[in-house]
Amino acid sequence: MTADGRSSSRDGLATGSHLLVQAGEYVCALPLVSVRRVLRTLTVHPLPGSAPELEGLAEFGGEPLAVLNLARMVNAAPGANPANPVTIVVVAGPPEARELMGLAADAALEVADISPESVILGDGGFLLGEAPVGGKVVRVLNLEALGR
Amino acid sequence: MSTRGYLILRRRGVLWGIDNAQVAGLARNAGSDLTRTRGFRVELGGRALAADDVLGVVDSLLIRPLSPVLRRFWPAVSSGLSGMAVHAAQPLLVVDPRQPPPLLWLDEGDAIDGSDAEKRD
Repeated sequence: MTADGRSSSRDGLATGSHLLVQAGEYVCALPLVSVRRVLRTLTVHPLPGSAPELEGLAEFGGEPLAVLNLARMVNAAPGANPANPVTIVVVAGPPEARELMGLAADAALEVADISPESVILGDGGFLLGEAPVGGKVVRVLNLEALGR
Repeated sequence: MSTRGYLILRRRGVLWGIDNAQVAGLARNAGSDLTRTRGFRVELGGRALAADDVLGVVDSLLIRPLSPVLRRFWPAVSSGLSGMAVHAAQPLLVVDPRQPPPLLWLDEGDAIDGSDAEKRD
């Protein structure tokens, strides 16, 4: 958000509020505006022969939900066995084709403010960039890049 | 067996739904020796498919478009799907009867016993 209250249009980073989640050894920041629910990890049915990023299909609210493994999506090395793994239900995809999907992560950590100016731009795709939060570097993700 | 609705089957741990009107036949596998696989044989559009289990037929499914994420991360199979749904609180994939995914094709060795076969005209 800019000083006059308008959203920043910098590469889809429209708000400074993000949900921080643990994904393997990385901490990732998801735009809070895209987060619908944080759930204890959903039962996921693996899909044989799928790419490792696709954890499988789950049921959420009576609807089928594709679930991606967030650590694999950001190429993070696996962390310790998570004590409280979660599935984060998000709205993702480009504006013309938004859809609900699940992101399997090791833990939901906290909500943090990340200003667009603090983001060092990344690959221009799913990894929007990196930003310092509380002395640590977090990966800021662009959920619009999913599903493309 | 009625030809309405969707035939629900399980294959490789996944639930699949097939337009029951397109199913030409259903037979139980014999599984009488080590080379044979237990389960079912489903005839669909001139192709034989394998099922580990057949759960029955439902009148209807609330079919959603296939997620683009599936198309991206499961391309070999998703091209043979026409949508996805939920049955009995489990996600289900709806098979495109014109091009069922190879994952469902009857493998060599999935021999069947014709004694329980049901053929349709």
